[in-house]
Amino acid sequence: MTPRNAVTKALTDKTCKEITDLIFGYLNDTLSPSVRRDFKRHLRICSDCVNFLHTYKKAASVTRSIRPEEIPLKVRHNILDFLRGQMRKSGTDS
Amino acid sequence: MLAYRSMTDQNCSVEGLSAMPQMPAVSIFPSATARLNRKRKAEFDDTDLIERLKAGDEQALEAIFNRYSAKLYNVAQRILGEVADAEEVIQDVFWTAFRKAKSFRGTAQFSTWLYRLTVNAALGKVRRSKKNKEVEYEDYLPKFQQDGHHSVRPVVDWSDTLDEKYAERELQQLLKDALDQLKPVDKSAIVLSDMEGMSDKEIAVMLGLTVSAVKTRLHRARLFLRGKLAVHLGHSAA
Repeated sequence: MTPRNAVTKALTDKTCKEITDLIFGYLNDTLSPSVRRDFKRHLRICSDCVNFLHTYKKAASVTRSIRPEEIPLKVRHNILDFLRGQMRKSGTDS
Repeated sequence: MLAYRSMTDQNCSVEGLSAMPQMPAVSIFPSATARLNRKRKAEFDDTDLIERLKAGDEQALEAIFNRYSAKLYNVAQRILGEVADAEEVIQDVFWTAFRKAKSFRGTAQFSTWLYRLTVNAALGKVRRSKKNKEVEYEDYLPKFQQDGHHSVRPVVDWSDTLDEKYAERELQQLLKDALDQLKPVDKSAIVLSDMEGMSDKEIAVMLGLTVSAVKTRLHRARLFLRGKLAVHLGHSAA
């Protein structure tokens, strides 16, 4: 473990913690070119961060796949009935 | 950020529809430009309805309800977690839209105004209720050694095994439960970003946050959701 850490530190200024903080910007393409270069250089030598990135991306992609909650027919009717009632009332009031 | 996420509100005018600039394809979300086009078309279609709504046309309210209720209900339901609460919120939102249509000046998109009403009402309701299921994030966030390396190594790549281990229905439930444990504002940000495809800027306006705060919250929420999935699969969240 120690030699790997030493190699990591020697080749890039970024730690795994810093890389994790940069994932959002990396995936949304908002990192500056030099930071992006550091990010990718770290990934080339750190399988832990590669794996972390894969799982982060997976979590984000499955979250986007959550199916929307459908409005139940009864709820839809309830709301429309309420709105029609209120509109009728407000029409009578005015 | 998303291709369309870099657009400013001023660029989203209906007049600009035909002269829409081509967005660079830098997004990790490939359908972002298509979503923007749909959104602009919807804005264009709303103009007539808004004018009729301002004149007190009841049919216009129903048309707007038919156009937006499904999306707004999804947002409210995701934030609140209860059908009855979501129903109440959506009911109030459309009634407010009808009553206050005259005060709508068109400086914001009409759909943004409706979303904002929905999010504010839902967050207000969730703050008043005691039913919040949120948990401490710490247990599900990555941990690091003093030198900045991952504290638990090796970090396992379970991204390919998730779909194998869970049937789609199970995974949906798992994600829903995990979402329910997010702080309400974070949950709102995730729902608006990942399910409604909104830009960080739009979300910032809706939630009354800075864009930077939205990014921080989205990142932290995604780290938490990642950690929940990792733990469910028998791995360390760290």
